[in-house]
Amino acid sequence: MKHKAQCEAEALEEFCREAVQAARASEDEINAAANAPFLYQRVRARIASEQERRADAQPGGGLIAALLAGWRLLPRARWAFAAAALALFALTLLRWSPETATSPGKSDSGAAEQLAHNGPAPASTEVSGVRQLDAAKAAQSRGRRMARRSHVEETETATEFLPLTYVAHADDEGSGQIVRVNLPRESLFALGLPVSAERAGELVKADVIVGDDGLARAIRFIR
Amino acid sequence: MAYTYGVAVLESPEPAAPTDDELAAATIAGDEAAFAALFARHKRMVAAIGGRFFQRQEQIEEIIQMSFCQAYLALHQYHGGQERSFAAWLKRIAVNTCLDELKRNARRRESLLSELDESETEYLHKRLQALWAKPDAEQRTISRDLAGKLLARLKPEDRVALTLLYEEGWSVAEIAGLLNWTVPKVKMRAYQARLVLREFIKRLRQERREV
Repeated sequence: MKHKAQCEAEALEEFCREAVQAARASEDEINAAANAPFLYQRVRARIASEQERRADAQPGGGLIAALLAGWRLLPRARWAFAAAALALFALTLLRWSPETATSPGKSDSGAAEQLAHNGPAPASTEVSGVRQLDAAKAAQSRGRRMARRSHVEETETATEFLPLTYVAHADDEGSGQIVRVNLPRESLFALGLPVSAERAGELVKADVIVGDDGLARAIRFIR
Repeated sequence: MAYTYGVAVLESPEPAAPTDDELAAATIAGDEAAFAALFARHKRMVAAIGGRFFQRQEQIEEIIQMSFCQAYLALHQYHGGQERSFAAWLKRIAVNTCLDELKRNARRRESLLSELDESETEYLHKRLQALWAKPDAEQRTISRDLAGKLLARLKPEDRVALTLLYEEGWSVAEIAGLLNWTVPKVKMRAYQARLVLREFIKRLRQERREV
């Protein structure tokens, strides 16, 4: 006669096994995913975009990338890398803060010293100083706007590729290339997608897979 | 030797298919066709790994894309040889990709056990009562969805350890090697997963008694 605890343990083992087995996809679904149309082209497109992203991130992120690589390579020296990263962060803060946060104060104190030595400065100097400050502020806000815009461009999302099934052998994934285009929104009608009449004239960004024969095989939309 | 209309024709020996290591080397050298061949050869295996953790076709496709993308970008780190085959290396990438995706899903909180309603809980309880019964296709689909919800309650790392232990039948040491974990960590993760499921079973039984 089995002990009650042993029975419970066996039941738990069986339940775990059944839950894990039940949660898996069926063979048909796995095969369908593996043989999905344009899967290879999508992989190539993803590789290309990842390479672009890494190339863009390279100039500023060299030191950080090196630290990260060290982190991965030497698991036992992680504390040292963490300390180095903290030190780098602190240095960055120290370098950054006097330029941005205290530069107006600095100029004020400089102006006060100048005033003490030379008396009141001519009005034209004050005006040019104010103009320089305004120009610096404008440049800063412009930089921030551009950074925001580039961030938005980086985080674009794409739909799945929609096969254009009027083409024979539409799922032929051996050839073709992806072309980025801007389409009028009204052309979405042809794909059976809803389009509001007010926005029919707008352009939408899309990637089109063009086969070697020049015919479009599939399309996806970018937001 | 083949015979065509009574004439013996000497067949030229078929050229041996390039090995994975040769294709990997060619891909690093810039041969796009070699990578396409690697993709065609191993996409089913990666899909099967994705299918262990995800049920929807688009999720499995996503795992395939991410795994091959990472493999391509890290191909220069692959050294080949007999000790670690390309398939094993790619499998490691695929499992880690699944783990990352499970973590992302957990952060998004896509599916929680609280999504199980009363009837689903009742069904799960019945399944628990009849562990060895063979369900029909419809029941299998329902229990699959429920099992997916149940496993979504586990921490991603716990779920991966449990799945690899039960589904793949791998040893603790093999899983540790695959995920770059220590052996005690694998044991602890599997234990935590079982603990959560045991608590769930206890709670179900308690609710059942109260009813």
